[in-house]
Amino acid sequence: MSTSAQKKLARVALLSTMMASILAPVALAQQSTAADSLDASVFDLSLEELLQLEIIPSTTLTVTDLRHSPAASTIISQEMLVSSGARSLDEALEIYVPNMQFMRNHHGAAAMGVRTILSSTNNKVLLLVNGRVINHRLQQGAFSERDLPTLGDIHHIDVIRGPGSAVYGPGAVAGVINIITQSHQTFTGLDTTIRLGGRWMVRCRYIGALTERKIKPPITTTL
Amino acid sequence: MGLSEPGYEQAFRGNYYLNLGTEYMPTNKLTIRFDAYNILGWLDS
Repeated sequence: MSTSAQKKLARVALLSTMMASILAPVALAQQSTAADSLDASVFDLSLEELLQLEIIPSTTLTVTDLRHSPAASTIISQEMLVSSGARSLDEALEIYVPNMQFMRNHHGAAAMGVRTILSSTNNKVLLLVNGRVINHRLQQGAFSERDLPTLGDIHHIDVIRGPGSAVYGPGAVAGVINIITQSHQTFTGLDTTIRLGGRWMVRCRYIGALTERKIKPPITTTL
Repeated sequence: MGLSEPGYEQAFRGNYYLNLGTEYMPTNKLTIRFDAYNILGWLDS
Protein backbone atom coordinates (compact mmCIF):
# COMPACT_ATOMS: atom_id res chain seq x y z
CA MET A 1 0.00 0.00 0.00
CA SER A 2 1.38 3.37 -0.94
CA THR A 3 2.09 6.05 1.62
CA SER A 4 -0.67 8.29 0.33
CA ALA A 5 -3.19 5.46 0.48
CA GLN A 6 -2.11 4.68 4.03
CA LYS A 7 -2.55 8.31 4.99
CA LYS A 8 -5.98 8.38 3.38
CA LEU A 9 -6.99 5.18 5.19
CA ALA A 10 -5.73 6.55 8.49
CA ARG A 11 -7.66 9.74 7.92
CA VAL A 12 -10.87 7.88 7.19
CA ALA A 13 -10.44 5.67 10.26
CA LEU A 14 -9.69 8.60 12.51
CA LEU A 15 -12.56 10.60 11.06
CA SER A 16 -14.96 7.72 11.66
CA THR A 17 -13.87 7.44 15.28
CA MET A 18 -14.15 11.13 15.81
CA MET A 19 -17.56 11.30 14.18
CA ALA A 20 -18.87 8.47 16.32
CA SER A 21 -17.66 10.25 19.39
CA ILE A 22 -18.78 13.68 18.37
CA LEU A 23 -22.06 13.32 16.58
CA ALA A 24 -23.64 10.75 18.80
CA PRO A 25 -22.96 11.67 22.32
CA VAL A 26 -22.29 15.00 23.55
CA ALA A 27 -22.58 18.65 23.77
CA LEU A 28 -19.97 20.32 21.74
CA ALA A 29 -17.71 22.97 23.04
CA GLN A 30 -18.90 25.24 20.31
CA GLN A 31 -22.56 24.96 21.01
CA SER A 32 -23.29 28.27 19.45
CA THR A 33 -22.51 26.87 16.03
CA ALA A 34 -25.42 25.03 14.56
CA ALA A 35 -25.30 21.27 14.24
CA ASP A 36 -25.78 21.58 10.52
CA SER A 37 -22.56 23.45 10.07
CA LEU A 38 -20.76 20.90 12.25
CA ASP A 39 -21.81 18.03 10.00
CA ALA A 40 -20.30 19.74 7.02
CA SER A 41 -17.22 21.27 8.58
CA VAL A 42 -15.88 18.24 10.44
CA PHE A 43 -15.21 16.47 7.16
CA ASP A 44 -13.06 19.37 6.02
CA LEU A 45 -10.70 19.19 8.97
CA SER A 46 -7.18 17.88 8.67
CA LEU A 47 -5.78 15.10 10.84
CA GLU A 48 -4.03 17.60 13.07
CA GLU A 49 -7.18 19.65 13.45
CA LEU A 50 -9.25 16.57 14.26
CA LEU A 51 -6.82 15.61 17.01
CA GLN A 52 -7.10 19.05 18.53
CA LEU A 53 -10.88 19.26 18.33
CA GLU A 54 -12.20 19.97 21.81
CA ILE A 55 -15.44 18.46 23.01
CA ILE A 56 -17.11 17.59 26.29
CA PRO A 57 -17.08 13.80 26.38
CA SER A 58 -19.37 11.97 28.77
CA THR A 59 -16.41 11.07 30.95
CA THR A 60 -15.66 14.57 32.18
CA LEU A 61 -17.27 17.89 32.90
CA THR A 62 -14.64 19.99 31.25
CA VAL A 63 -13.82 20.72 27.67
CA THR A 64 -11.07 18.44 26.48
CA ASP A 65 -9.97 16.51 23.46
CA LEU A 66 -10.57 12.81 23.05
CA ARG A 67 -6.97 11.89 23.72
CA HIS A 68 -7.19 13.31 27.22
CA SER A 69 -10.55 11.86 28.14
CA PRO A 70 -10.06 10.54 31.69
CA ALA A 71 -11.94 7.26 31.24
CA ALA A 72 -12.69 4.68 28.62
CA SER A 73 -16.12 4.94 27.08
CA THR A 74 -18.24 3.26 24.46
CA ILE A 75 -20.95 4.92 22.45
CA ILE A 76 -23.71 2.83 20.92
CA SER A 77 -25.67 4.72 18.31
CA GLN A 78 -29.20 3.99 17.09
CA GLU A 79 -27.78 2.65 13.85
CA MET A 80 -25.60 0.23 15.80
CA LEU A 81 -28.59 -0.91 17.85
CA VAL A 82 -30.58 -1.65 14.72
CA SER A 83 -27.82 -3.35 12.79
CA SER A 84 -26.83 -5.57 15.73
CA GLY A 85 -30.25 -7.20 15.97
CA ALA A 86 -30.16 -6.72 19.74
CA ARG A 87 -33.47 -7.60 21.38
CA SER A 88 -32.88 -5.76 24.63
CA LEU A 89 -30.52 -3.34 26.28
CA ASP A 90 -28.60 -6.20 27.86
CA GLU A 91 -27.94 -7.77 24.49
CA ALA A 92 -26.79 -4.49 22.99
CA LEU A 93 -24.37 -3.93 25.87
CA GLU A 94 -23.11 -7.49 25.64
CA ILE A 95 -22.44 -7.11 21.93
CA TYR A 96 -20.75 -3.73 21.90
CA VAL A 97 -19.16 -2.97 25.27
CA PRO A 98 -15.77 -4.53 25.94
CA ASN A 99 -15.12 -5.91 29.42
CA MET A 100 -18.77 -6.00 30.35
CA GLN A 101 -19.97 -9.15 32.04
CA PHE A 102 -23.40 -10.58 32.61
CA MET A 103 -23.84 -13.36 35.13
CA ARG A 104 -27.23 -15.00 34.78
CA ASN A 105 -29.12 -16.36 37.72
CA HIS A 106 -32.45 -17.86 38.62
CA HIS A 107 -34.06 -15.10 40.61
CA GLY A 108 -33.98 -11.91 38.60
CA ALA A 109 -32.08 -9.84 36.12
CA ALA A 110 -28.59 -10.97 35.22
CA ALA A 111 -25.90 -9.49 37.41
CA MET A 112 -24.20 -6.83 35.35
CA GLY A 113 -20.63 -5.75 35.86
CA VAL A 114 -17.72 -4.03 34.23
CA ARG A 115 -14.14 -5.24 34.45
CA THR A 116 -15.22 -8.01 36.84
CA ILE A 117 -16.67 -5.59 39.38
CA LEU A 118 -20.04 -7.19 39.71
CA SER A 119 -22.70 -7.55 42.34
CA SER A 120 -25.70 -9.82 42.58
CA THR A 121 -27.78 -6.77 43.50
CA ASN A 122 -26.57 -4.78 40.49
CA ASN A 123 -25.52 -1.83 42.61
CA LYS A 124 -22.10 -1.34 41.06
CA VAL A 125 -23.32 0.16 37.82
CA LEU A 126 -25.18 3.44 37.54
CA LEU A 127 -27.99 3.33 35.02
CA LEU A 128 -29.32 6.63 33.74
CA VAL A 129 -31.93 7.78 31.25
CA ASN A 130 -31.15 11.22 29.91
CA GLY A 131 -28.88 11.81 32.85
CA ARG A 132 -31.38 10.82 35.54
CA VAL A 133 -30.53 7.88 37.77
CA ILE A 134 -33.06 5.05 37.53
CA ASN A 135 -31.31 2.53 39.75
CA HIS A 136 -33.56 0.87 42.29
CA ARG A 137 -32.30 1.85 45.71
CA LEU A 138 -33.85 -1.02 47.63
CA GLN A 139 -33.16 -4.33 45.97
CA GLN A 140 -32.50 -4.74 42.27
CA GLY A 141 -30.13 -1.88 41.52
CA ALA A 142 -29.73 -1.29 37.78
CA PHE A 143 -32.85 -3.10 36.70
CA SER A 144 -35.33 -0.92 34.82
CA GLU A 145 -35.12 -0.59 31.04
CA ARG A 146 -32.75 -3.49 30.64
CA ASP A 147 -35.23 -6.02 29.34
CA LEU A 148 -37.58 -3.80 27.39
CA PRO A 149 -38.02 -5.18 23.88
CA THR A 150 -38.03 -1.93 21.93
CA LEU A 151 -34.91 0.11 21.43
CA GLY A 152 -36.22 2.45 18.77
CA ASP A 153 -36.61 5.41 21.09
CA ILE A 154 -32.93 5.43 21.97
CA HIS A 155 -30.74 7.95 20.23
CA HIS A 156 -27.52 6.60 21.64
CA ILE A 157 -26.09 4.99 24.75
CA ASP A 158 -23.03 6.28 26.57
CA VAL A 159 -21.18 3.64 28.51
CA ILE A 160 -18.28 4.54 30.77
CA ARG A 161 -16.19 1.47 31.44
CA GLY A 162 -14.86 2.40 34.82
CA PRO A 163 -15.63 4.45 37.92
CA GLY A 164 -17.63 7.58 37.23
CA SER A 165 -18.82 8.87 40.56
CA ALA A 166 -16.78 12.05 40.31
CA VAL A 167 -19.03 13.10 37.45
CA TYR A 168 -22.26 11.17 37.94
CA GLY A 169 -22.57 10.86 41.69
CA PRO A 170 -22.61 7.90 44.07
CA GLY A 171 -23.10 4.40 42.77
CA ALA A 172 -20.90 4.45 39.69
CA VAL A 173 -18.36 2.02 41.09
CA ALA A 174 -17.87 -0.17 38.05
CA GLY A 175 -19.37 1.92 35.31
CA VAL A 176 -22.06 4.21 33.99
CA ILE A 177 -24.71 3.50 31.38
CA ASN A 178 -26.42 6.64 30.16
CA ILE A 179 -29.32 6.12 27.77
CA ILE A 180 -30.08 9.18 25.67
CA THR A 181 -33.50 9.01 24.06
CA GLN A 182 -34.66 10.59 20.87
CA SER A 183 -35.97 14.11 21.14
CA HIS A 184 -37.71 16.55 18.86
CA GLN A 185 -34.29 17.67 17.76
CA THR A 186 -33.15 14.23 16.67
CA PHE A 187 -36.23 12.57 15.27
CA THR A 188 -39.63 13.62 14.05
CA GLY A 189 -41.99 11.13 12.52
CA LEU A 190 -43.22 7.60 12.93
CA ASP A 191 -41.04 4.60 13.69
CA THR A 192 -42.84 1.25 13.81
CA THR A 193 -41.31 -2.17 14.33
CA ILE A 194 -43.02 -5.55 14.12
CA ARG A 195 -41.14 -8.58 15.44
CA LEU A 196 -42.04 -12.20 15.14
CA GLY A 197 -40.19 -15.18 16.55
CA GLY A 198 -37.85 -16.16 19.34
CA ARG A 199 -34.71 -17.92 18.26
CA TRP A 200 -35.49 -17.00 14.68
CA MET A 201 -36.78 -13.50 14.29
CA VAL A 202 -38.29 -11.60 11.42
CA ARG A 203 -38.39 -7.88 11.95
CA CYS A 204 -40.05 -5.22 9.82
CA ARG A 205 -39.28 -1.60 10.57
CA TYR A 206 -41.02 1.31 8.95
CA ILE A 207 -39.81 4.86 9.36
CA GLY A 208 -42.24 7.39 8.04
CA ALA A 209 -40.97 10.80 8.89
CA LEU A 210 -43.67 13.40 9.14
CA THR A 211 -41.00 15.92 8.45
CA GLU A 212 -37.47 15.46 7.29
CA ARG A 213 -35.63 13.06 9.56
CA LYS A 214 -33.09 14.90 11.60
CA ILE A 215 -30.03 13.22 13.01
CA LYS A 216 -28.21 15.81 14.99
CA PRO A 217 -26.26 15.82 18.19
CA PRO A 218 -28.42 16.90 21.10
CA ILE A 219 -27.73 20.45 22.08
CA THR A 220 -27.89 19.88 25.82
CA THR A 221 -25.19 17.99 27.59
CA THR A 222 -25.69 14.39 28.59
CA LEU A 223 -25.01 15.09 32.24
CA MET B 1 -20.81 -38.03 45.25
CA GLY B 2 -20.35 -34.51 46.46
CA LEU B 3 -22.58 -32.98 49.01
CA SER B 4 -23.04 -29.86 46.93
CA GLU B 5 -24.52 -29.44 43.52
CA PRO B 6 -22.05 -29.14 40.62
CA GLY B 7 -22.88 -25.50 40.12
CA TYR B 8 -21.42 -24.68 43.50
CA GLU B 9 -17.88 -25.19 42.26
CA GLN B 10 -18.50 -24.06 38.71
CA ALA B 11 -20.54 -21.02 39.41
CA PHE B 12 -19.56 -19.19 36.30
CA ARG B 13 -18.10 -20.11 32.98
CA GLY B 14 -17.72 -18.15 29.81
CA ASN B 15 -20.56 -18.18 27.32
CA TYR B 16 -20.24 -17.88 23.60
CA TYR B 17 -23.00 -16.83 21.29
CA LEU B 18 -23.21 -16.63 17.55
CA ASN B 19 -25.95 -14.51 16.04
CA LEU B 20 -26.39 -13.94 12.35
CA GLY B 21 -28.72 -11.57 10.58
CA THR B 22 -29.45 -10.14 7.21
CA GLU B 23 -31.20 -6.93 6.31
CA TYR B 24 -33.08 -5.85 3.24
CA MET B 25 -34.26 -2.34 2.53
CA PRO B 26 -36.77 -2.35 -0.32
CA THR B 27 -37.38 1.36 0.16
CA ASN B 28 -35.74 4.13 2.07
CA LYS B 29 -38.31 3.84 4.84
CA LEU B 30 -38.93 0.11 5.15
CA THR B 31 -36.42 -2.36 6.55
CA ILE B 32 -36.91 -6.10 6.74
CA ARG B 33 -34.52 -8.12 8.87
CA PHE B 34 -34.06 -11.77 9.50
CA ASP B 35 -32.02 -12.72 12.55
CA ALA B 36 -31.00 -16.06 13.96
CA TYR B 37 -29.85 -16.10 17.57
CA ASN B 38 -27.52 -18.43 19.44
CA ILE B 39 -26.71 -20.63 16.48
CA LEU B 40 -24.08 -22.48 18.47
CA GLY B 41 -26.85 -23.45 20.85
CA TRP B 42 -28.47 -25.58 18.17
CA LEU B 43 -25.54 -27.96 18.50
CA ASP B 44 -25.42 -27.84 22.27
CA SER B 45 -27.84 -30.33 23.70
